[in-house]
Amino acid sequence: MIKINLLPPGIFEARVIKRLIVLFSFIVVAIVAGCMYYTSTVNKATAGYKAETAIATDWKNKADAYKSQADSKIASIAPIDAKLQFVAQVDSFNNVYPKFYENLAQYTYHKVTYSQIAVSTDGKVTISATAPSLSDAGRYLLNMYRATDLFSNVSISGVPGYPANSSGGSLSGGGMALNSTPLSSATPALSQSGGGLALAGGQAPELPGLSSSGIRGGLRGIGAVASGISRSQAKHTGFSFTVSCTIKDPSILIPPSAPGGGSASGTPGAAPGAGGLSSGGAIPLK
Amino acid sequence: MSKLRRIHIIIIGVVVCLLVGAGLYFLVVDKAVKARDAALVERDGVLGAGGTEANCNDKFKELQDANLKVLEATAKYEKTMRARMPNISLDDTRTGMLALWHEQSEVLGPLLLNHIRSSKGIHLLSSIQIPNPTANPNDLQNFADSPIRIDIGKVSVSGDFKSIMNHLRSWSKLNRLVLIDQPSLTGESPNLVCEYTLSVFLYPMTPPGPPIDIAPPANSSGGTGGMGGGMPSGGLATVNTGQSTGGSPVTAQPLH
Repeated sequence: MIKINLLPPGIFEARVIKRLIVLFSFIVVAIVAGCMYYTSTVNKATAGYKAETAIATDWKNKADAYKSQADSKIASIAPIDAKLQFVAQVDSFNNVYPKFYENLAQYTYHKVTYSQIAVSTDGKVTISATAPSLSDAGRYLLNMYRATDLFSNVSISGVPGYPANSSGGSLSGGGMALNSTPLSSATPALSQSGGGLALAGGQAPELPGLSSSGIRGGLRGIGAVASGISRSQAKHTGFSFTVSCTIKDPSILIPPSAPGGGSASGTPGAAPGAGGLSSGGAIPLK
Repeated sequence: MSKLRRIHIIIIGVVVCLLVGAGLYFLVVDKAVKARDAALVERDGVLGAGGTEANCNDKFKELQDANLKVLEATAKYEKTMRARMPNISLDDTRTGMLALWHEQSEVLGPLLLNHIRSSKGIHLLSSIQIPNPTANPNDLQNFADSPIRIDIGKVSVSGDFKSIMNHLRSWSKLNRLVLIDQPSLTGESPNLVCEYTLSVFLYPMTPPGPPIDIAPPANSSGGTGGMGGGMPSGGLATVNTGQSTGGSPVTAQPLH
């Protein structure tokens, strides 16, 4: 069956328009309601964030207050810490030179006799020594070359040529011939009266490549000082030489500086050692 | 109304919807969103800056640790001061100066001598000279946190190698803070000679008080220097050694 609408389209236009108006009205209301709902949701989140911010700010203020107090406490003991640190540094520094000399003794060949050791503040070590023979001096030098943890540079001077007295080395027959080479300027040498400073090791050192026990097993050089010394007079028949070494870390020889710059009593700011008040007469005690 | 056709209503409706939606978005929603974003950023900023309970607890623990550290440092400091320093208080620099006189003129010299004398196998070869203390209390103003340094100078001792090494180390056990420097060894063991420089550091127990008004000397050209040099050595060194010196240096017999 065929349905034929013979009515003109304008017959239902008014009804359609009314329906469209209602439809758009609902749409507008829905838009407004949606916006309001979303806005209220956003505002709730905003309020939540603000509340969290307030709590976080409270925690932060408390944390800052604790930190400020802690910093203040730490700052209040900074001078104390500086003093304690200086005391510890001084005590530690007092052990530097003995430890160095003991280490040096460990590397010293027992047939070699020292007559003087001087250490300058820049790390230069000058050793005046006597060896009975060239072989002993060689062994000593090879041993010193092994002291890589102690020295960065080791050199020897005074090894005699031929004839012996023409090469700078001083061979001696009976008595000891001390090398009078000027030593460290920072540590003036005391007057020499002969004899040797014996830091000799008690056992023959192993040559490089032959070491099995290790030379650092103990302070055997020191332990054998006495025996080394007792033989020293008999060994004064060799030649003397000078060994120059450079300490691997010269900074260990720099004495600690006092916080605030300690100065001689009564002369604030004076250079250490200036002895500002000694002009009026020191108090010598002996 | 009757002239409005369907298409007109649709256009008008769509336009109205768009206008209402846009108006609400820009006037209400956008402001709310921006406010929320700002609050979020602010919250994150505060949280990032440590606004958390965990951070607060950490800081509180730091404060407790700091308190503990202060107590430990203070106790260690007091112990060190009692063990290594004379009781020189500079609250009143005048009495502090007198205490320093006693220390430098009467206490320190015998203390050093006794220490060297008590070192096993060590003989003192040189004299020990203590510089004169200051006679101006205002000279002590600079020693709030810095130590008073007393340079003793060169000291020569003799002994065998081991004794000398032990002696050098033993200065750290003295009840004064002593620094030894540049020890050199010469001679033949057991009569090695070791020469080293000796410095003593004194920390006052309290920082210096206010400066003292001192009457200017009658003759300003060198009057103060003479008093500062002569008086302490003459008077106080006599007490120490039992000899009348009249201001000249006192030299006692070597202690072996």
